[in-house]
Amino acid sequence: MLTPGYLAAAGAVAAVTTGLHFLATRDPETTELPTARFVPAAPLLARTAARRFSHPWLLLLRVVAVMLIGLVLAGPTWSATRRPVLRIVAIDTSRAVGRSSQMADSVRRYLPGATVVLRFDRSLSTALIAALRAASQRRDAADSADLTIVSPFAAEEWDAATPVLRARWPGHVRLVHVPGAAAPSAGAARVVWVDSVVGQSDAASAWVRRAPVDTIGAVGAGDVVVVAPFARRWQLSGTETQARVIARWADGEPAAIEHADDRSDGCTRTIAIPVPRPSDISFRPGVRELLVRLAQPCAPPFDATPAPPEVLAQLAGSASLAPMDRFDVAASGASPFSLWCLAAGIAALVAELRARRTA
Amino acid sequence: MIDPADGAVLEAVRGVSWPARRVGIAGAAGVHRSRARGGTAEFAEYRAYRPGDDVRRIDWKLLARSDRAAIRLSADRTVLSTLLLVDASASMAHPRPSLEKWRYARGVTLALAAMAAAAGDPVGVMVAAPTGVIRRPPRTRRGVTAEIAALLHAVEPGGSPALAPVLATMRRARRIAIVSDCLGDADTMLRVASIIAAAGGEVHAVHIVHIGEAQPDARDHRVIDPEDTGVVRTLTASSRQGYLDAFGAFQAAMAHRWRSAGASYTRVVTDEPVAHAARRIARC
Repeated sequence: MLTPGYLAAAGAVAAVTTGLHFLATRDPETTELPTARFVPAAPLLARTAARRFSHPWLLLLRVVAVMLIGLVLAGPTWSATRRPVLRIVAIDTSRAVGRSSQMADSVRRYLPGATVVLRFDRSLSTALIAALRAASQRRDAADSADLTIVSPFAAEEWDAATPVLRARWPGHVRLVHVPGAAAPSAGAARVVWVDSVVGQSDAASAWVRRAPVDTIGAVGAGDVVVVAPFARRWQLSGTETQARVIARWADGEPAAIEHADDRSDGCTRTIAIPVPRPSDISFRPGVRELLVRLAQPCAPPFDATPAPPEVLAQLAGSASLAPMDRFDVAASGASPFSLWCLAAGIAALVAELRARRTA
Repeated sequence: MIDPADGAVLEAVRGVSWPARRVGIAGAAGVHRSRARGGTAEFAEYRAYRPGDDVRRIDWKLLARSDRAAIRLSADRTVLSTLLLVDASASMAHPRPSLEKWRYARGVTLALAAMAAAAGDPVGVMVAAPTGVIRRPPRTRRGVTAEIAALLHAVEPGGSPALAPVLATMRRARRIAIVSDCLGDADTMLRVASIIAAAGGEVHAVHIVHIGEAQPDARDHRVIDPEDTGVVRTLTASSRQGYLDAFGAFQAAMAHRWRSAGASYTRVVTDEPVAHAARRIARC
């Protein structure tokens, strides 16, 4: 029961209704009497008190309707069985995982007792978010929660949000290490200047001509920034979504992108920066660094380096099982059980209306 | 075809007479005493012969004994034209749907008609009904009672028809019986009745009171006047005595005013057998 106060309030209202049922007065019966004129004039609002219990069905319908509405407001959830521990197992399915057979052996050990099995990819933050959500949704189904993460715990899976999300999990996290994938090698980059190959290479098809040509004051790649007037003749096609941006103009638009080659570890870079012409700009150190950055080998597909021990220790934590009442109430819609209660309450109200008319 | 209940009433009043309250004027031969003196066998008195009298009416034996010419007079008997005015307003339909009060008034009317018809009196009926006045002029023919019974059966009481205008058209009748609950235009009716009585007519007021009106329910309930839905009162244990006092005063006032107008007044409550009530009315 998420908010039992409503149920208590409904019980109080039902008790008052029951009390009023005994105390209620009702209009006297109206009958024809030809000699009514001889009855002394008295207030017509006079009511007769019900001195005995009557209309039990009416009272029953009223109490049932009030209790059902209180039940709906209390937001009940239906759980067939309440478990002492909610066991959540999060399984890493990212590219950092090595041989799947080894992963299966490790997972098989924890699956039998698992209540909830989650799969996550690329980030431990994703696993923690999914686990927190699962625990919130099953807040009333168990007393405490146990989280097990099966992963190689590569360094690239740890991001800035991970410590914050870990702090929101109020218990210990069991870390199950599985072998990671082998570290990929960095391939050679093929650099294509769009100005030079336009119309001659498919690599430049991701770019469309900008009309009119505008001028922008800077371009940057990583931490290298070159401040100079550049004529922008190209802009990235709106259909290009798979490329990795390696350089941007000062206004954030991509200035150079990189596609991984399917056949090798290498990549192809298409650069929409105008080819520097012989001028004093060419001699600036920043330009040279930019050219070096654009020509450096392709970035590896992922960082397979295991996370440092202190990071893993932070992730595991030291507390015991997570108490379920520490999790937030799931802000989900009404449960089916609540909807059924609401429907039954409405039906009781309609029946009460009909019973009142016939009483 | 007479209703079994009506048949029982007719059987109960068989042989009961409804004599005239006063000596009537001359008319067709009947059972009621007349102010006229004639030559029937029932001796009344002698009167000295006057020129122009029929010599056949001279009592010759008296002439021989006393040498006085006298005419033998006898008391004439005449018939009494009777008209029954029946109130068929909504108040007479109490209580619905049994129409107990109306059925009772119908029975009393039929009993009076039967008693009058049995004496050879012409009997007619006029019903102030919601659809208008239903008239059946006085007749002496056989089966007039059954005709009146059928006419009354066809009436459905309702509305608030006025009785006084109908009563005003009945002045030629020698005997008038008004069967009503006196809850309508009683004041106007009393004025018309006093004129009829002053002219020598015989007026009987039969005040019908339903037992539910005389002894209303002791439980608390709201009552409404069927003829005036604006009159809505609450009858409680505390107001019941006030009602009984006011209604009793009304009935006493009605009795006094009808009698003061020269009419006879009989209050009948529906718990009294119809034939018994009709006998009481006839004795007034």
